[in-house]
Formats: sequence, C-alpha cells, structure tokens
Amino acid sequence: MRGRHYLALLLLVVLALLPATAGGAPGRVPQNVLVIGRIIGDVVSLDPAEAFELTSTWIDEHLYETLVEFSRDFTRAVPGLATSWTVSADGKAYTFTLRSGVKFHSGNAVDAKAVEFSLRRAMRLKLQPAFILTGFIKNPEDVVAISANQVRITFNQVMPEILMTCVLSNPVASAVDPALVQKNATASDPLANKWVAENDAGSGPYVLRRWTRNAVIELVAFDDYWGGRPRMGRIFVQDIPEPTAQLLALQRGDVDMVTDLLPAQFVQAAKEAGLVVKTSPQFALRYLAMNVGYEPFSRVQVRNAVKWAIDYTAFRRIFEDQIDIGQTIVPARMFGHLPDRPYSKNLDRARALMREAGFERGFKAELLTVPDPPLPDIAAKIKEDLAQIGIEVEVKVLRSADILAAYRARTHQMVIARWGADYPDPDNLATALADFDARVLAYRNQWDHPIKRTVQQAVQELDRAKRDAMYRQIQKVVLDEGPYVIIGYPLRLLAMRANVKGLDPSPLSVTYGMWGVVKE
Amino acid sequence: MSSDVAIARILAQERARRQQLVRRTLRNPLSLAGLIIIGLLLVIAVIAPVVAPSNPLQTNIARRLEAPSGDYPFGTDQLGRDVFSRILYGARISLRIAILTGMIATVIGAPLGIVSGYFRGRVDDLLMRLTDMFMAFPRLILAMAIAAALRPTLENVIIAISLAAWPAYARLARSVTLALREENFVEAARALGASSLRVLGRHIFPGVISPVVIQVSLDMGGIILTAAGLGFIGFGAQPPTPEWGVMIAEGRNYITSQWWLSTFPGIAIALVVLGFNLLGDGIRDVLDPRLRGGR
Amino acid sequence: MWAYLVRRLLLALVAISGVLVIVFFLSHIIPGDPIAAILGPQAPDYVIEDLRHRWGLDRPIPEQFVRFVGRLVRGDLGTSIATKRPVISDLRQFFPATIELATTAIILGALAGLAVGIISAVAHGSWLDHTVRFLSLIGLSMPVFWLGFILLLVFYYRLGVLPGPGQLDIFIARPPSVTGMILLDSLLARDFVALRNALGHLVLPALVLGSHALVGIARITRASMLEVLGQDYIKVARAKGLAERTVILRHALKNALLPIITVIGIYYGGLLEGAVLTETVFAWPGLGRYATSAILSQDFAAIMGVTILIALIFSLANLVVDLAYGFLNPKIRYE
Repeated sequence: MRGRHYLALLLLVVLALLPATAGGAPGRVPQNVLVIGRIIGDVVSLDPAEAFELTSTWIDEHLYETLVEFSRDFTRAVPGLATSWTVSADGKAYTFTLRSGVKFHSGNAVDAKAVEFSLRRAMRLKLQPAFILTGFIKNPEDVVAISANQVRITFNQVMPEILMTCVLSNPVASAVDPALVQKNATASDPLANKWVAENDAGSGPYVLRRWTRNAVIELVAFDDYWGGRPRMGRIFVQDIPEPTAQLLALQRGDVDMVTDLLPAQFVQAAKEAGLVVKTSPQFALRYLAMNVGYEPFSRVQVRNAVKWAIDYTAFRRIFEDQIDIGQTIVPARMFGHLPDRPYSKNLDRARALMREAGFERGFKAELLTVPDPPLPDIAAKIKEDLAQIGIEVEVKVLRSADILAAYRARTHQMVIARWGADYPDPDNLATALADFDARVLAYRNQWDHPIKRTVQQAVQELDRAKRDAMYRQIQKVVLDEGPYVIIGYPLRLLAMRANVKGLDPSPLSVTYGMWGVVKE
Repeated sequence: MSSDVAIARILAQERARRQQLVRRTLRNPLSLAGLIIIGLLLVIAVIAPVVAPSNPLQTNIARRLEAPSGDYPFGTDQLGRDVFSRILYGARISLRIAILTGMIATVIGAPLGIVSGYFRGRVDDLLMRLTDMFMAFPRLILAMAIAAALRPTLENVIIAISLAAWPAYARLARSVTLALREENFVEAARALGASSLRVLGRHIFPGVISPVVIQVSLDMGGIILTAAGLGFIGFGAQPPTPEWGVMIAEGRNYITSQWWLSTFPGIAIALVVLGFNLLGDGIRDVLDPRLRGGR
Repeated sequence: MWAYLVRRLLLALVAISGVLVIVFFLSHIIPGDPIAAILGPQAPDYVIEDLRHRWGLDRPIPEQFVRFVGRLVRGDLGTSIATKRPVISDLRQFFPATIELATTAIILGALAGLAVGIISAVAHGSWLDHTVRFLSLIGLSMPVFWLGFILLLVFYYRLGVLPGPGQLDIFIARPPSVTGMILLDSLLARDFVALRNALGHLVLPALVLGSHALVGIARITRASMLEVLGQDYIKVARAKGLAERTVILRHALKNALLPIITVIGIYYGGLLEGAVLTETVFAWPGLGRYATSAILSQDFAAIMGVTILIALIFSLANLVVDLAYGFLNPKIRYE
C-alpha cells in the first residue's frame, strides 16, 4: 500500500518536470525584443563616472548621452546633447549650446546645470575613468553653466576639436540626472555613486529595467527619446560565460546575437543557414613584445632575428582570418598608417643576425600569454618558430593579474598582449609604443629611443601632411629597431540571426549601439 | 631477536594476505577489466615514442582541423598537430601526474601520520589540527588556490594536488599506527629496548605502507580528474603540453564543429579513470568484509 | 553530549582560522596585481597606484592581515575589488544559487544511489549487479565539465527537450527574492511558471553534479544492505513469508540507512567542489563561479570571504553528520 503512495509521489514529480521541459524548448525571440548572449561578469558598476570595463561602458552608451560624438570617419565632432559649440580665441575654452527639450528618463530636463553637475560629479568622485577628464580639465569649477542651455568648459591646454571629442564623447562625460543623485545621496556617499552604480539616471535611448549580477541586464526603449523611440522595445543581455554555450544558444534561436565566440566558432556560425557573422575593423593591435632589459633582447639584431624567424602567414590561419595583416604600430584604416610589411620567415637572415649579435648558440626565454584562445596557440607556434634559430621559448599561460603585474614590473622576457586605441588618433599608439617618457609600453619593454621626441612633437603638429609624415617615420623606426613583433590588427566579430539588421559597429573600443537595430 | 621472528611472521602473513587480495581482486571481472585498462595505459606510456605516428608538438598549419582519416586516425587540432599522437603522449603525462602526486602525498602523509599515531600527545594534537585545517576545505578549490599561487606548470599542479591530498593519508597512517602500536610484537620490541626509530622503521612502517599505498591507488582516478579540472579552469599544464585535461579545455571551443578535438581526450580520461575506479571498487570489495557478505 | 559539541565547534574554529591564515598569505605573497588586472593594460600607472593606495594594498602584508582580522571580528568581510560591493552581499547573492543546485543534486544523487545500491545488493554478484555498478562507475569517471557539455549538446541543442544554460529563461520574471533560491521563491510567490522553468534549468547541472555523489552513495548502500541482508532478523522476516519488497525496503533498508546518511552528508559538503566546474559550464550564478573568478582576478577580500563560507559549511556538514549518527544510533556515546 505504502509503495503506491511513493509511486504516486514520484509520478507527480515527473509530471511537474515534463511541462518544464516543454516550456524550456526554444521559442523564437519576439519581434520587438533583442536578446544578446554575452559574458557580463566584468560589469562592476553602471555609474558612468565609474564604468571602465567593456560591458559596462557599452551598456552605458545606451543609457547615457554625452555632449558630442565622433563622426563616422573620426575626423570631427558631431552633435550629441549639444547642437553647436564655439571655441575661444586661445583654443582652450569651448562653449556648448544644448539641444532643447531633451529629458532624462525621470522626466527632468537635461539642462546646462545638469551637465555642469555631471562633469563635476565625475571629477570629484575620482573613480577609474576620471583621469580622462582630469587630465585635461584642471578643476571641477572649470565646467560652468553660463545660461540655462549653455555650458562652458575650460581645458588646461589648447584643444584641437578631435582631442576635445576624445575627452567629451567618453561615457565618463555623460549627463547624469542631478535630481536622482540628490534623492539617493547619503552622508557617506553624497554623490550617490552606490545608487547610480546599480540604477539608471540617464537620458539615452534605453532605460535600465534590471541588472542581476552574472545573470541578465534588461533595457527598455525610452519613449520620449529626442531622437525617436528605438525600434527594439526591449533588449536583454543574457550572461553566457562559455563561448560554446553562446553558440548553442544562437543556433537554437534562444538569443539573437552573441559577442564572445572563439575564432573557430565564428567560422562555423558563418557557414550556417540562418546565421550571419558581421566583421568590422578595430583600432587595435595584437603584438609580441620583447623586453629590452633582458640581455639578449638588448641587441637590435636579436630582436630583428625574431622578426625574421616568425611565420606571419600562420598567424592569420590561427586567427581564422579574423585579423588584419600588418607590421606597423598604427592600425590599418587609421590616419598615418604605414602599410610596410618587410618581414617574412627567412631563417638564413635570422640566423645571420643571431650570429652577428653573438648568440649563434641561442638562449632561453619565457613567453607570457593569457589563456584566451587562440593566444596559447599563437604562443605555441612562436615557440616552434624561434626554436629554429636556437631560442628556446618556455610558454607560460597566466592570469591577466599575473601578466600585468610582471609587465608593469618589467620582469617579463616576452609577452603577447593587446592594445586598443583609446582614441582614434595615431598619437595614442605612438605614445604608448614609442615614447619611453610616457611610461607605457615602450617604458615597460625598456626601449628608450630618441624617436620619442618626434612622438612628442607630432601630437602638437597642426599641419596634416607634416603630421602624417612624422607618424610614418615613427612607424619605420619601430619597425626597424623596436621591441615588437606586430601580429596583426584584430577584427571585431559579432554573430547574429540573419533577421537582425541595422548594426553598424565602429572601430573604436566597444561602440556598437543597438538603437539602430531592427529585426525582419 | 624474538621480535625479528615476530616481524618475519607478520611479514609472511602480510604477503599471504596480499596474495589473497590479488587473487580475489583478479577473480572479479570488473576489477580485472580495470587492471587491464591500467596495464594498457602503462604500456602506451612506455612505448608512446615508438608507436606515435608523429611528433605531438609538430604543427602543420596547412592541415589544421582535419577530421579523422587514414592519415590522422583521431584528426588534427587547431595547429595541425596529430591528435592521436598527442593522446598517446598524454598518457605519459597523466600517469606522471597520478604517480608523482600519489608518491608525494604518501611521502608527506605517511611519516606524519606514523609519528602522530606513535608518539601521540602534543605532536599528535598538532598534526591532527593541521590535517583538520586542510580537510576543512574542498580539495579542488584548495588545489586551485595553491596552483594559482605557485603559477601554473605541470610540476606545480602535482605539488598543488599533493598538498591538498596528503592529510587524508596522514589520517589513515595514523589510525593504522595506533592499531599496530598495541600489537604484541611492537610492545615486545619496545620492551627489549629497541629505539623508537628502529621500531618505527622496522615494525610500524611496513605495516602502514601497504594500506596507504592501496588507498592512494584507489584515489588515482580522482587525482587525474582533479588535474584535468585544474587544466580546464586554466591552472593546469601549459600548452603545447599534450595534457588530456588541457586538450579538452582547448577542444571544447570546437565541440560543435570539430568534435574529435575534445571527444578523444575526454574518452581517454574517462577510460583511464574508469580503470582506476574499477580496480579500486574491486579492491574495496575484497578489503571490506561487509561487502563480501550475502545471503 | 554538550561538552562534545563545544569541543567540536572549538576544533572547527581552530581549523577554519588556520585555513584563513594559509589562504591569506598564499593569496598575498604571489606577485599578481589585482588592480592592474581590473583596470587592464592601458590604465596609466598613477591611476593604478592611486587605487592600490585606496584599497590599502600598498601596505605591508602583515599589516594587511591585521586589518583583515580586525574587520573580521567586527563581522565585516571587506569589499570585493572586482565587484566593488561588500563581500557579504556578493555571498548573499551567489550562495543560495549554489545551495539550490547542490541540494537538488544530492537529492537526485541519493535517490539514484539508493536505487543502484539496493539493486546491486539484492542481485549481489549477478550480471545485473555488475552492469549497474559498471554504468555508475562510468558516470564517476567522466570529467564533469566534459559531461556537462555533452549533455547540453544532446538535450538542449540536438533534442531541444531541456532549456539551456542559466537559472531561468530570460523572459520569465524572477519571483521576488525571499530566500534567494528560485525554487522556494517561486513556490512562495505561487509563481508556477517560474517554478517549472527553473526546474527545467536545474535538471542537467544537478544531474552532472549529482552523478559523482551517486556512486559513493550506491557503494555504501550496497555494502550496508549486504551486511544487513545477512542478519538473522531478515531471515526471520523472510521465513514469516513477508513479501520480498517489504523485507528489503521496510526491514533491511531501514537498518542499513545509518552509514548511508553519513555518506550523503559528506558528499553534500563535497558538492561545493564539483560546483566550481559545473557552474562554469551551465552559467550558474553561484559560489563556485564566484570563487573561480575571485582566484583568477586575485580579489583578496572575495577569496577570503568564500574561504570562510566554504570552510564553515564543510565543518558544519561534518559536525551535523556526526551528530545525526549519534541520534540515529544510541549506542554511540560522545565523550
């Protein structure tokens, strides 16, 4: 008798499970909803004064707005919250006139006071991205609302329009709703950083509806957006930490788009009916650095022997063609790019250079890389290539915490790393890779070359042709003597269902807003 | 003198017991299967350089990601390396991890356990608190923390797992020592004035070592899985080492398109671990008299 | 009994403190730089230095330890560098998800383990015994992360009968959080749509996680049953002509249950280990993933917080098992 009861209970449990399986079967995502599968574990804070990670700045671009934005070709500023602006005679002060009728999601007006408040707030909070503002604006008081719809910003140096745009189009310069900040301020947190970190105080095309850490971010279209309500009524960003699981979800139709597939998976997705892979250039570099402070690499011949020993054609295959080829430090499509590609695998030359440097018997070197595919494969290939000229490479795949510590402490010997342009100008790359005094990559690899003077002058050169020539010269010197092997310029890939249209990623960092997206 | 006779008798008994254990184990078809699998693993590990069709590290970009075929029975990986050869060489690595980890854990655990059980008192208290500490924490997570701290290399994986695993063996050695300590022949040896060192070395150690070694071999499957798990999260062996766990981790990126990359190392691990588990299950049956009972 | 309990608690406390000291120094002596890791390779040095200073990471390690202990005795676990939230609220969010997963896994593992163990014991030595044990050993031998992917591939991708990664379909609103566990919360809210969906999401990860406990439980069930089945009173029961099923389930199993419960308890604590790998594969927002990412980014406060919590659960699980043993078996006396 009792047994029957147990059986009934078991049956009940099974029955409870069965509809669940049916309910979990793939329903296609509704037409006005966009679901994006992505790794969102990097989101720490959505406060634009604090957001510094790829996902959080990307989300903030939907929630918040800045005074100006870049034109598509990155040569000038286009209106954002400001419709027009004027520059003072000394080139330091900009006066912006605000777009009228723009509202925060709360319904409050985005006026000059709000902009003044937001920029001052970001500077006073002094969180990670604040340096972007404080590097160019001395005091918070240098941002002033001079009328209801006019803001004047006085910079600490002459600001060409492109540089002004670099600073003011960054999410850190977003307009944040002052009324909401005041309402949620506490004694220990007068600027409500904790509240803004998890809530929405913006005026952008989308409103944050919820954010559950390591699970989902939900955005809803803002009905009163001045640019018109975006087509996608809701956007879900679902955390899918495994690239393989992202691919499965996309194939099942449970998500419309995924961002973090591995190279081979993008290739697979591209072959499938119903899926599309969108490839776009990025202003970024993938490179192998040799620390000049490590004895053998202090010889330019050894550095160049490495450049001649490497099989560059393999890189492209290993990256599944998802990288633009190039050997100079300014990425293709950027102003000043030098398209020279002198190096190819030539063991005789490489060995001759090793002999010339007195290292014909080779040496040992440690190569650091993070575990992100396909970098360990790139490292394995480099190990094999360099073994042919007697350099015995030991590959170490480490956490980025370990690698960055070693890189910053300059204790590495070789490292595979990436640099993404902070702003669309060759100055950013030249400064990082060739100016020792800037204390970035040239400094970390202990390569102190007089070319740094040219780098320092080029940024102030106003004549475009002269400037172009200077950057070409810098690239030539780095190519001939520098401590870097440029692996290539990685492309950005997004895989999506074929019915998703209207996405237009920019080559800069993460900017690809979803407000233009439609589904057919 | 008499104690030596007693020892000889004990050792003879021990040998007989062991033979019986072997016989009983072999009679069980499952554990026999396990033994065969492990034997195969050993053979493959030894003759890998002879039978492997190619160098496991040799890349061939022109022939990457090829499906299994006559040229490449298990296909090629993302760098055009022969998966079959890598699996064969991987046997050496898995075996090395399992054996070295077992040895290190034994070398740390057994003496500490013996000392603890033999001298008791303060030493015992201290050592047991130490094992408590290590056992208050899941093994994989502890090994993860240690491997991260030491930086991931094959050697450090071995050290990390050993450090996480020894307390269990120390406990076992201690309890066996506690029992042996009360045996007549040990008491006799002590009464005859044998030094502690001699008693420990000649009388206790031989009795402790075989249960510990048996326990370690029972755990080998778990050790291999832990190492693979460490490889999966990125705290394991370094590329281009053909370690099976790392191969799965690399291959999982291709699981929907190039299934052979992670399937073969997955099967290899499952098979070897199954071998150890089958054998372990058999030995457990024989050792635990309750398991032999029946109607 | 009380003296025993107090002694055990003290010992656990000593052990946990030891673990804390070890983990603290282990995580601090290594050369990694959590701030640089979070800010990435492009942040200027002065920003990194400034932040290191703000987090107190520029101080000597012993001083950092003293500060850590000082905060700890006030019940403050500190703030995570990676999430910028108090570690305690991170734990409060991620822990329930793991408990939910581990509990379901242990229920599945225990039910299946009991069944396998009983079948093996009753059919002792037969082909059925061997087959069932062989199959469960195969389950034990597969790497969990590999098994997870294969199950996802088959049941989610190819067959489409089970939902994919995550705790809940995104279109299904999460019930208001009371316990933090979706199953309980949706029951409390009488939200059966969410309940069903959450159950569906739970099936695969719980199966994968439970498969390891299954074999251990099956093994001990078999052993324990064999022992009991050999006892006289079973023979008596059989002689009385009771149905075989009644004999096995009501007489034998009842008496064999004691060691089985012990093992279930031990495995329950041990599931935290499997959770590390399972949660990654199934995008489960739990403690295992939190621990992994904390170690990866060298997030000191988070590492310590997770350590404390896991060590506490582990020690408590062991204690509860021992106490349960005492209640179930009055012959055992605690000294």
